[in-house]
Amino acid sequence: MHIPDGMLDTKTFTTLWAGGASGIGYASWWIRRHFDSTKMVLMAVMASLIFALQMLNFPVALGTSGHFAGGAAAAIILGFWPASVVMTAVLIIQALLFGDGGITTLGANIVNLALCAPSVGILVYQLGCRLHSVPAARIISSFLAAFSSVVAAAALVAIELWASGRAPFYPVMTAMVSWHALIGIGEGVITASLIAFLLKVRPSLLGITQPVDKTSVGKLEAEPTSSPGAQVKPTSSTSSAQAGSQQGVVVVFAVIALAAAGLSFLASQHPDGLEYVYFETGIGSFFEELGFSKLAPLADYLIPGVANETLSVVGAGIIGVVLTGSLLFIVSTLIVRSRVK
Amino acid sequence: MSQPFSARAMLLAALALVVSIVVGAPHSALVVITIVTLVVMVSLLAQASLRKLLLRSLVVLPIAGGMALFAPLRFLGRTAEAVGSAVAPEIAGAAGLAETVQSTGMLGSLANAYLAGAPLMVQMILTSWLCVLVLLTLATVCPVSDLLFALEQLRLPRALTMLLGFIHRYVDLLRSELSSLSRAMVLRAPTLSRRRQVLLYGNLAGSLVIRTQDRAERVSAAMLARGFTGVLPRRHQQRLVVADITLLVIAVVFSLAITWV
Amino acid sequence: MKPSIEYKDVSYRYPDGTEALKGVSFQLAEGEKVALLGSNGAGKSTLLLLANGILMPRTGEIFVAGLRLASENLKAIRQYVGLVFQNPDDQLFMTTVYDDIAFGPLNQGVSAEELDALVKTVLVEVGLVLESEVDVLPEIASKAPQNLSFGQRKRAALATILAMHPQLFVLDEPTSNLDPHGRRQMIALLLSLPKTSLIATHDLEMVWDICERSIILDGGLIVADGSTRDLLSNESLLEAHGLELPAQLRYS
Repeated sequence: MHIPDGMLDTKTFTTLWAGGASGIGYASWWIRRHFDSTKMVLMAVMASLIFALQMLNFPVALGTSGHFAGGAAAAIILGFWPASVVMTAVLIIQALLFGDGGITTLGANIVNLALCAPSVGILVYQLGCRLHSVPAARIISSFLAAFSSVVAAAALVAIELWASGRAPFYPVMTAMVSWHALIGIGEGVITASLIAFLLKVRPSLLGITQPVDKTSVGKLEAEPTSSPGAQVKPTSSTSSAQAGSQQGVVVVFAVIALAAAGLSFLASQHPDGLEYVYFETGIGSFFEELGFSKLAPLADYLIPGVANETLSVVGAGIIGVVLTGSLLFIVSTLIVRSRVK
Repeated sequence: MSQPFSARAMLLAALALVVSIVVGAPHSALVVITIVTLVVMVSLLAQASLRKLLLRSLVVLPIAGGMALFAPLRFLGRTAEAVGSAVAPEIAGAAGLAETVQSTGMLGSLANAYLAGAPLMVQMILTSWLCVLVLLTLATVCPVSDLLFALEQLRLPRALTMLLGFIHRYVDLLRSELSSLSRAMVLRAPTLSRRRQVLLYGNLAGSLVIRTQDRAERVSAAMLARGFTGVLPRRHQQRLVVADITLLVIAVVFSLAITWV
Repeated sequence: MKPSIEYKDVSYRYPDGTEALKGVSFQLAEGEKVALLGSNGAGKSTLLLLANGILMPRTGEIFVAGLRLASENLKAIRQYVGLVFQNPDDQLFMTTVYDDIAFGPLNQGVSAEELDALVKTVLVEVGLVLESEVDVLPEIASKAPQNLSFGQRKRAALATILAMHPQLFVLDEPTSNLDPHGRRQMIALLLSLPKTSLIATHDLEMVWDICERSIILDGGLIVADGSTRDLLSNESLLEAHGLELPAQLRYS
């Protein structure tokens, strides 16, 4: 779900950069204020774990597979702001070292995967836990939290592609959301079974205070002594980190709303990014002259007889995506096969 | 291996290049060839495997392709006039768009939309690929630790740079722990279906989370024992040397050229 | 002469209720190399973590070079006591060996100009670099810790502490998980350190070679404290506290 460079136009990616950077700037400030050095280290090592866990693959459909993203899980375990910084660090590493994601789109990816996904995740989880405090409720809410975090992030991706003028709204929204609803099930299953495991084995990690079993190795935590000169700040426990997360969620939604407002304003000012230039500079005309557009005549409307334009666009969109998608799938499978050899 | 340029300068140059590739789209064949040549030259100079680089850069195709798939759909459901007005008028005239308005049903118009939008799609994918190519070249040429240090010098928040360092340090360790855990799981349950295995992922992840928490406590103790006060110490601040500045100037000029030509 | 470190009736209980140490008293004279023996869970690691104030005693007092272990003395005490962890992956957390070795000295306020020389010196001291190569900054310094072999990492971990010039070495299982060759090298290295050391270990053979004195812990209590030769020849004592003499020592 990482948006690569080139998928978003300038107005969209700059707006999202501003949103993402301010969100993460605030998150870093929050962490320096609330975390002592021990918690900082815990967060840093957990960041590598989230990255490592993204190795976990699961089958989705049509022979494709999705991988664990971990946004909701990170938020449930670490609290919202730490999770957002953790996810951002993962995104930066992926973009810079692995070509997964992009530079201009980093802001967008931060907004989608480091701010939106964890905030939706923690919100759903906390709502669920508030309704019922039994372990089963926590497990079910963690499933829903992970599921909705994936779907919400996918919906944001669709909106961003649309705002960039790179896709019509309904087809891209339908495709992104339905596809990621499938992926969200895998994410939800892994997150829920992870939370179930932690509830059994180390509930203290989830902010639940219970008599811990004596064999627990995690003894060092309780008595961290900071060095002289260290800012001895009130050590916030996991639960207080989560308490801070509700404000966080509100702030994030405010940021996303602002970004959306800015986008729609800008969108009304400019027709399109790439598409506009593409026709203006005549590259498009080159293909036009090849006669591509004469091969099949353009229709007035999509499906004759279907009066509802939206419906017919959605329908045609799905067919188009499936057709070209399978072509692309075959090509990429071939590439992967040749790489394995 | 000592490099003529500092990681900071190379990082900045690569970022400038990426931004200009994105902003400057669509690209003529000249620009594409220039960038690819540049990448080839740099990786040859750094004695990196070009084949590996190219293969790695292909990871972007499925994702970029998947997203670019939607672009031509913009032409769906529009009247020929509408497409014509999106297309510059003289092109529309030349292509005779206005005369070809004939409804032939869904598939026909879909084909039409994809044919009309194919160049747009190609341009989007091409832009993504070029950017990935540039970034991966940077990652092959620059050691990771230098890149992380460069990011620190570019004033990324400290919390973030510390996380980046830790990810680089521990991710392989944790990944190998994860694979030995999952290997042990699969070996004890050879008949388990893939779907059932996914249900057990939570246990793998959970035991890793707990191990990781314990490890974090030990690491933190090791850091405290060496005088850690919550902020990683900075190494000597490097200055940009003449070579760096030259590289940056060239990068900026080149980027401007890509954007405006 | 002041003892290098002194534990006076020290107890420690973890927040979960585990009594790790129940009134431990002993002292180390300067220059002494002392082994800390005991089965898993005997309280060895807790005792080591108390030595430089990662943990603070619940009751009792610890004196390091005459300074009482208290938060106002922590900086000086951590300068004096160098603690090497069992797993080098816990000890080496920076992105390069250089940065890792520099971490402690930078926190101590060593200037950036002195660092290069310091890093080279300790790399030579732990045998990761041959003396003849030290004109330039050795290649191993710019490597990432995860790219070293386990034995190299063990030694790099020791180097990170050596760079801080502590007066007292506290080592947790310095030879664990090493292959026979690596283990012999590590023992030679430990022998060459002229410093006071407290070494927690299961490696009785090494203890026989290095430490003139041993302390046996069991269930958070010191059950024996005396010359290594006496303790290791007392088979019934060893057996009673879950320790086993390797065959080689038994018949020698």
